[in-house]
Amino acid sequence: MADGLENIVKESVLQMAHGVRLKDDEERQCKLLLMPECIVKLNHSASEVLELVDGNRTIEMIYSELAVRYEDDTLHRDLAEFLMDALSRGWIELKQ
Amino acid sequence: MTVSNPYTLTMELTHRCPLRCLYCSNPLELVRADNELLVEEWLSIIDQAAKLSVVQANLTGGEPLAYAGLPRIIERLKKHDIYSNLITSGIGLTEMVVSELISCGLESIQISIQSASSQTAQLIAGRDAQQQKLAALKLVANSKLPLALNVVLHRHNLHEVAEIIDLAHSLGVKRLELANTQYYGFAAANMDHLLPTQQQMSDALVVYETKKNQLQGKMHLSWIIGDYIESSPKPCMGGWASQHMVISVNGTAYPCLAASAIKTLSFPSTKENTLEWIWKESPAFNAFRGFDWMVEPCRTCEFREKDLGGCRCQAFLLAGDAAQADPVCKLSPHHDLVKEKIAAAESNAVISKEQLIYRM
Repeated sequence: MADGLENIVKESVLQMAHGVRLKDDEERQCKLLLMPECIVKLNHSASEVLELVDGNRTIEMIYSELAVRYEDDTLHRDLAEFLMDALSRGWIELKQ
Repeated sequence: MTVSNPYTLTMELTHRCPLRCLYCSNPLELVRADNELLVEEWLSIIDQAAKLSVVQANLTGGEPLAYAGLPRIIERLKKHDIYSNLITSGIGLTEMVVSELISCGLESIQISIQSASSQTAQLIAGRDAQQQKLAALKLVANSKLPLALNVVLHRHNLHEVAEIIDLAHSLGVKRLELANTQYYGFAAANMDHLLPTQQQMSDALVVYETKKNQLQGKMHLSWIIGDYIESSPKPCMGGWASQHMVISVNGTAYPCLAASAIKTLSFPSTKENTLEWIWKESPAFNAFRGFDWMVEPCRTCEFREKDLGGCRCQAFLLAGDAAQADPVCKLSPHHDLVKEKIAAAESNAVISKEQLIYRM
């Protein structure tokens, strides 16, 4: 893990990065991630995770909520991968 | 053919600008202040854009802070829940202006600098504005407004990438966009003075990757790849008139900022047509949608759905025909033109100030 993110633990609280927000696009029937000079059309599972990134929930809480909805052996690994990817893309950040 | 709605609207509010950058993307024929759209015309465009499901707006110029109606424009975007992003030189940003922009609902701001050194910045911008820009950056970094720093890269500052990243970090910038020059507008006119050597580019990329890794979690860095580097073209703008719409200073509509370079198309005006007609029906916006317009080698190419034939503006500028394959592509019959430019960059070491074309 790269410097600066080495302190991520399951108690870490995540929030949307400064200037990034979710939008419910009724016309396109999907969730969009809006940020400076970029728009990401989210698939269903990505939007489910990002809706839980609210500056209050820890990574563990996000996992628990998703685990209730999905009985999936790979959930833990998939979630970790997605969150690391979202962090490196600048979509979300650790709450200091 | 069903046309899906645009996501983004770029609004060029004015061509007036305190700077005269060598790589400015504005067209060489700048629109005069007395031909600028009135603020009421922009408000109507925004209302129409919202009906077309636009979700994001870039406010640019010239220098958009020079346009007096800017606060009302931002308020109207906010009313429609359209994400607003102001792209500015930073000249004219005071504490009062920043608070006004925030209270109008501005969602993010991008400020550019030309170099880590005042001297190079002056050569590029045609005037000494470095201290004003750094002051503006500090001001915004300490405000609530999300800030991105943009630096356009070329042969005169690629060796400074480490210094630029360190400077951004020391100013408290959380997002840094390193954008290699795209050769349109004034940048095309000054190409011989801006195009880097391949060695410069690869050295800078190594520095960037190292720094990006070191700063992960502290600052988000992005690298926008330049023209003339790869031998396969990029699917420009995600395809002609597929996601993005640009309204220029006088109301003329384009599928991208560089498209006014294509002289064989007649671009529609918001003064005479609705945004919906322009997007869905106008011949200019439909000219290169889909695949029917393609000629060989694109027409039967296995990569056509991936790269969409590349950039139409580059095809026009280099090959003289916007329907040709992007000459950046190694399969293009005009690819030698790009190779000549790249080869010339290797020997263009000497720069004579008299040859530089600054915008007025």
